Amino acid sequence: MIQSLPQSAANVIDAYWKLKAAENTYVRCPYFRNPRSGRERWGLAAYSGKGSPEEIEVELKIIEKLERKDFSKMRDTEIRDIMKKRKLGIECSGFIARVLDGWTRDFYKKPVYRLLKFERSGLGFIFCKLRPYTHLDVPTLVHAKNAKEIFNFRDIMPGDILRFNSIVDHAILVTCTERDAANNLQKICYAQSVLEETREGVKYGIIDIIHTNSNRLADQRWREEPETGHTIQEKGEPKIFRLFIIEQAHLW
Amino acid sequence: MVGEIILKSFYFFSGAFLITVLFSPCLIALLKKFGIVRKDERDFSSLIATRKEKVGTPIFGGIIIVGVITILTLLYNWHRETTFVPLGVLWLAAILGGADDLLNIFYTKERHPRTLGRIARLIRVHKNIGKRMWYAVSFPWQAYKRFFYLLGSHPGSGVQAHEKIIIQFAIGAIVAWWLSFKLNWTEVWIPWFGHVDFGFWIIPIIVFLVICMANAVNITDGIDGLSAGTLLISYSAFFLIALEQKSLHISLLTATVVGALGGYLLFNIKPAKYQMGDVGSLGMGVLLATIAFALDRPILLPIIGMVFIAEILSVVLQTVWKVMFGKRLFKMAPLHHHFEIAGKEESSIVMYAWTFAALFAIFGIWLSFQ
Repeated sequence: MIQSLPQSAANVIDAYWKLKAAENTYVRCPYFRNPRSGRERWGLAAYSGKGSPEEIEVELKIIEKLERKDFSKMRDTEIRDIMKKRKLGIECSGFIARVLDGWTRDFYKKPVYRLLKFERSGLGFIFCKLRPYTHLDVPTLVHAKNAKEIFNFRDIMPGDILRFNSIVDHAILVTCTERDAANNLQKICYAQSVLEETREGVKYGIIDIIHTNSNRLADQRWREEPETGHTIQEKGEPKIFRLFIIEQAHLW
Repeated sequence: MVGEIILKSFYFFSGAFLITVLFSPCLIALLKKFGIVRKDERDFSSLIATRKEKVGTPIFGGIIIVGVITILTLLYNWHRETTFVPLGVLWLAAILGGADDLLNIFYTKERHPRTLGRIARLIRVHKNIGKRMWYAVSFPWQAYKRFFYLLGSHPGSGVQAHEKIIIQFAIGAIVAWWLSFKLNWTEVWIPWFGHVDFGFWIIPIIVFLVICMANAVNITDGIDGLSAGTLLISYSAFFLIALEQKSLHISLLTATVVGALGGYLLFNIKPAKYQMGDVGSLGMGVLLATIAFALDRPILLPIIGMVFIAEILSVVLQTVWKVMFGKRLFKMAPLHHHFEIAGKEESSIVMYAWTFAALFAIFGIWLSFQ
């Protein structure tokens, strides 16, 4: 039995996977995270690693003109290099927030930030209201007010967030699960925007449950597309969090 | 009296117009010879297709306006109490703008400010104790620079935004000193209400309006004929107000400006033979604000200079939108570039701006008579 994220969420992942750079030219969104001290942190959302696919596409068109290039005649890797140089991309929590946003707008008829609680007060609270996507970081997504921890990975569901915070602070989104007839978990699919040596970006991944006796996800086999020689498994053992908005929706 | 002022004004207008028209071809040739021309910029404005056509057009053309006003005023309209300070601040602003224009052309090194975190680290760890002390002492200045950088000021090769603001503040302070302490002027005329005494609060108002108008005119100077045409309309309106007040020296000064702008505009209409540059736009903005104060009509500045205010407001709003909401309000700021990207013809944007400027100038003149 396969359980997947709703189509509205999958569409957003696809949009990041195939950003329209020009007519018939698509590019996979690279990773970018603007540091807190960065100039663009307080600029456009697209340049702070929090932009929607549409916002990033608009910036791509602008960059094409600024760089005096014709993206329709360029390869995906060349366009991605320009995007990296121009600091245009998506970071892990921005990616998850935008994917969930696609779903909540369809299911709850509300943007995701209206359904989550920000753990800030005073001026920080005002900024969270003004620039909600900028402040939807991993700690906010998995905060006790917004999510609960799942201790057995066999209970994992699409929409769950795997948080890595031993080596780096990173999060990935479970997009589908596959179970056998006896309801045993066989496979977990996920999507993420991840930083690697080559500033990677949006990737799909699969965790094959090969060690059924192990209670650790890190012991299972992790594969990722595109194949870069790295998997998120390197970042240690994740914690699993389930957002209340996903649980309350009773999707599965 | 009014008839005499009109006659004299006509002489100043004609003189300024003729000198500008006669010397403009020589200036254009000189600017081209010395390479003071618009370079191929890869800033945001390069998104507009017609920008490429402007590469190679001489800039710094505003110097002829400033020069003609200076010569005619010094020779025939010199009056220590009325024309001395307007001319002085015009020159200060022109020097600032001129330095910016020339540095942008001939000085290619960009200056990026360090992050405050990095400076704080340098204060702690730099091996040279003298450098550490210098970083500590200059920290507020670095923070001030960084503030403008984060607001979106582009660290080009010219005079930086934070430096411009300081010089413009000094120019505003000179105007404020002249009006408040030399002329003992602390009242602002308000239509239907008469004069309201602001006391020393008038000083920050003067400084703010001078800085605001200098930058507003500077920002408006982005399309052929836009700033010169709207300036001509605004100065004409203030000329009529000066005439109504029977203010001889200010009437002559504004007539000179209108004449010089008229002559300049003949060469600036699309396709422009030369462009005003910061040397002219900053000076014209400062002078416009100073004349409004000299005529006791600063309240009319946002009306008579409505186009300039709309342009600067579009830039402010765009920055606020980006910082507050992470989005763009306009496709591009200032407003004329927004319309260009939206597909409007350059010449039609200019015609609309002139029309609105004229309508608001008439409204401003009517208000002035209330």
